[in-house]
Amino acid sequence: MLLRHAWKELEKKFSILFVLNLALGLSGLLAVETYRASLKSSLQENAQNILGADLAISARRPFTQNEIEIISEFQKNTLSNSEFIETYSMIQSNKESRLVLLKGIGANFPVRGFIELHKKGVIESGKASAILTDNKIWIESPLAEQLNLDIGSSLKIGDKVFIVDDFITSDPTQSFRSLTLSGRIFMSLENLYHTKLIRPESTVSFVKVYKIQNYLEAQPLADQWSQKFTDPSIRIRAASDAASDSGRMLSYLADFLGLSALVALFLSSLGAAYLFRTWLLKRTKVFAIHQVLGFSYKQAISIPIIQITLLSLLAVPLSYSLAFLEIRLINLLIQSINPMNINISIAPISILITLLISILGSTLLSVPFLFSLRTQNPKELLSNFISEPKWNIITLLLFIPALILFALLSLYEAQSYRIAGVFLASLLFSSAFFFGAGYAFLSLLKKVPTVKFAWPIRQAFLYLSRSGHRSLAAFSAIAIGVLLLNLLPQLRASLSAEIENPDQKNLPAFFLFDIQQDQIDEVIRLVKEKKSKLENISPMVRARLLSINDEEFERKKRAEGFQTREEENEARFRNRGFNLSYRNNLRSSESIHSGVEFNHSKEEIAQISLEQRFAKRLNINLGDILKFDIQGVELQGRVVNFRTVKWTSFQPNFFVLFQEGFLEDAPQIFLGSIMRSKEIEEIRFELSRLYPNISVIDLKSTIEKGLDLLSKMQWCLNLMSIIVLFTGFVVLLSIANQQSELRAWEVSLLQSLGAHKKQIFIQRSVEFSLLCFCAGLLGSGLSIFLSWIISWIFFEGTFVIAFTPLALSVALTLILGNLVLTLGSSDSWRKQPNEVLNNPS
Amino acid sequence: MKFFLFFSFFISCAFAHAENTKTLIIIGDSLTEGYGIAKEQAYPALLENKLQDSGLKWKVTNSGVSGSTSASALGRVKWALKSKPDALMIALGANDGLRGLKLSQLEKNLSKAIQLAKKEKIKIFFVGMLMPPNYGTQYAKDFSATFPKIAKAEKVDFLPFLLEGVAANPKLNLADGIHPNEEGHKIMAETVYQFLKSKL
Repeated sequence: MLLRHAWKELEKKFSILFVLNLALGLSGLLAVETYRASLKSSLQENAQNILGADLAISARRPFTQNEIEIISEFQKNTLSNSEFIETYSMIQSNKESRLVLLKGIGANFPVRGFIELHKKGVIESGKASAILTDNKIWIESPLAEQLNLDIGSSLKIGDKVFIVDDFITSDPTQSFRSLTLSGRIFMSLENLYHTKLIRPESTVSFVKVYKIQNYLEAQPLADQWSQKFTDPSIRIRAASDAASDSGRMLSYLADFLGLSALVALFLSSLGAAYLFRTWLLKRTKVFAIHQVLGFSYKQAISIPIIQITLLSLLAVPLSYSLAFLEIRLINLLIQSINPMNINISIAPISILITLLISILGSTLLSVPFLFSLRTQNPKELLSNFISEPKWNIITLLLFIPALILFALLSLYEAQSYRIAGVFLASLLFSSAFFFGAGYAFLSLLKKVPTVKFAWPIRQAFLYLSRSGHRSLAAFSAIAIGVLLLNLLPQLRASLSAEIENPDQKNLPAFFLFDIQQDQIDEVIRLVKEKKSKLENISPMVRARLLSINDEEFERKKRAEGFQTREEENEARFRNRGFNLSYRNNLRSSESIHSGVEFNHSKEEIAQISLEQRFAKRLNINLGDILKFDIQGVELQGRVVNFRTVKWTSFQPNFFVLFQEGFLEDAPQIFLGSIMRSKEIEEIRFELSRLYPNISVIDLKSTIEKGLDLLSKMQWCLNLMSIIVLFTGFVVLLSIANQQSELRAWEVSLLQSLGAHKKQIFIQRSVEFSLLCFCAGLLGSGLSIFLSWIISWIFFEGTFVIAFTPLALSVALTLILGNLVLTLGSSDSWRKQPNEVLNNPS
Repeated sequence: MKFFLFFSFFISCAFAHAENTKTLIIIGDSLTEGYGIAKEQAYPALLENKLQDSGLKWKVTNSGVSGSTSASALGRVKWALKSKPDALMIALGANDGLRGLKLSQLEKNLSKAIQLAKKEKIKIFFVGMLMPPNYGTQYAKDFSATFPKIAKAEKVDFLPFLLEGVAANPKLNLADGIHPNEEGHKIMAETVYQFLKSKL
């Protein structure tokens, strides 16, 4: 009976508007949720293909039986596995002898990505080992050229003669090794043993590679596996190694996508909460009538709960249809610029979340509000003015179930306790701040001398300052909305600054290592003669760090040995020496994170600049005194600044940089890079002929792969920011619309009292603009502060303020607010005032 | 300021002379530098202790640079000679082999460095190196033959293999299988000590 009664009592127009507004907000969440999931899986696939495998266990000796048993246990948690062994060898062809990296691949190789061959084309994951049988080898194209080999040529490696079956044009599995100095030759694992090059005294890497479900879980898994091996010669690495720059960025991006979903969730919830609240406010009179007519309190309270649940249920299918339209529209817009070929579909879990927010959220938010009406006299509730409920501690405590629901949803959306925790804490702090600031703002308005103002303006000030709770709720909702709206563009700006695609014209083609002091001038001249330029010339001095502030830095092995694997690894890291460089100026890829520039003063002690992550890892502070040993000579320096180095510049960089004037006479070598040019191959040939000690490292494929991933990351950041921005405006629009609808009764009252439409419009416009401007300004201001905190906690990188979204959000809130006001009011203008006054609900 | 490092180097050697202590500079690569282990536990420091314990007043300067090849030998010998050492030990070439550099170049580089040091009429010691079998039988053979050939031609005292008893033994090497650990450096120090004790 109650259900039928509740249904019959629903006012048609307001219910439609409510359902539409709620559906709009929810559709935004659905769109964000859908894109987040699709982008994440697509980017994951891209990254995994580039990385070649998710996890690798390696050793420079064969695994023992015990280790193989432990590894077999682990294998159960992986999707597939393979193995390979690598060793360097000198190969003699009829042209010359060359250093090569021999790679013997086992069954199922590669576990991720593909190998691209010149003739056979793409060899999909898992299929290479089945093709590379008998005495066949695959050889990298440049190496084949150097050795004067063609497809079908024979080549003796160790004791066995092989036939060149194809040339390798792309090998994703190289990422598990640092830059290699030589070309690669692939053969079967069995055949590598047949060469007789693998003997107990040989230097060989034995590697087992694994594919897991989610590459982001590779690092925790690697940490977990590491605990099982006490011998530090067993190395376990995740492809998405958090220490690597691309791995770090992928993890940042996952966090960013998590934050996007959280922002969308809260934007939609904010819109929904505001709608529920205004709807319930409008229902207070009906609630009172029910009580006067003899309904029990329980029955009276049940009717609005049933009604809001029914309306929310109606909003859900509508939100799906709207989300579907939004996704189609976005897909249409991004079709030509989509580099990722993403597969978009609304996931069932997203549908469940929408359902939870709309139905459970509405009920949980209604309870405290309806509870607050219990103590109010029906006579008060029956007055034509919509009265605000009275809040007390119990009413506030009743919000806890709703908060728990949102905390759980946040945890699911962020998929990280840390992100969800920081985000919720930030929002709670922001809400409290906005309520406080809103209260102060409204109190301040009361004190503004409005006597000299025109009537509509005076009325706007008076309305805002007198309507207490209602203005405060609107102020807070708009401020939080603008805050959420700005949070992602601010974070996007900081992340984008780090992964900004460098100007491809300025990218190096080759790195040159080990240029001797007596060779540097000759190399510069040679490169110049070939119409190119040796750039980023950096001297490199080898040194040991002896102490930090007189505290010994190196770790000696004690008589009882190292107690743990971690202790030994830390000692090896500290004892392995550092490469120092010197120059007075920063490069374009560097900026000072903290501290001061070298001041060129003639101090006895050298000034040092450290890369900021390096300093953090070694726990070094500004002003610390570092003592180095440079081939028997001790040299001290004071840390004057920390630098951030833009890794996407692909320039040679150093963790430790001295000012000029201290290291010039130390034995040193030079590094440099050469830009792309037509003569690049000629330069390479001449360098290897005249200066064979100089290692020329080809960066082309490494940079190309890196740039490709960077562009995809950028694209994801932009797309998510735009979708969330869109969702945010939809929510703000629905808040403004609801606010406008709520005020129809007052507009009519003012009209019947003799106010002109123009005066009323000016009054409302001033009122709304003042509210939107101040709340928007505060919201965008706090968004800078919060995004700085989030950047600092999660992205530990450079922080950049994006001014455009800030200005845009305040301006658009103002424009949209006034637009909705005009459109929303048009209906009220058409009606006769007494028509609206007689039917306030 | 610019010559700070040179003066420091010079002064530290001058002090050694003043104290009637002789100086041996070992020019080498990561094996000499003691990659991954503390400076005091690398073989040059252990060698100094051994020499002093046996009554030989020698200061040993570790001039090892990780990754260095024979191409750096000449420049580094020039630098070392500025401090007027009493003896010089050249232990370079391992990285040339690992990088597959031309053996003729290795021979040329090391010979030039030795010839320069010989002009100063100081004691010269030369250290040889071997290559692991994965580099191929012929290359390994040619590589190991290069060092005694140079020693013979330049008539210098020659230690055939710095890593004698250490190479390819996982217990004496770090996880990378190439660089000796603390135990490995103890053996290297003993090998070099046995080689030097009658010659210093």
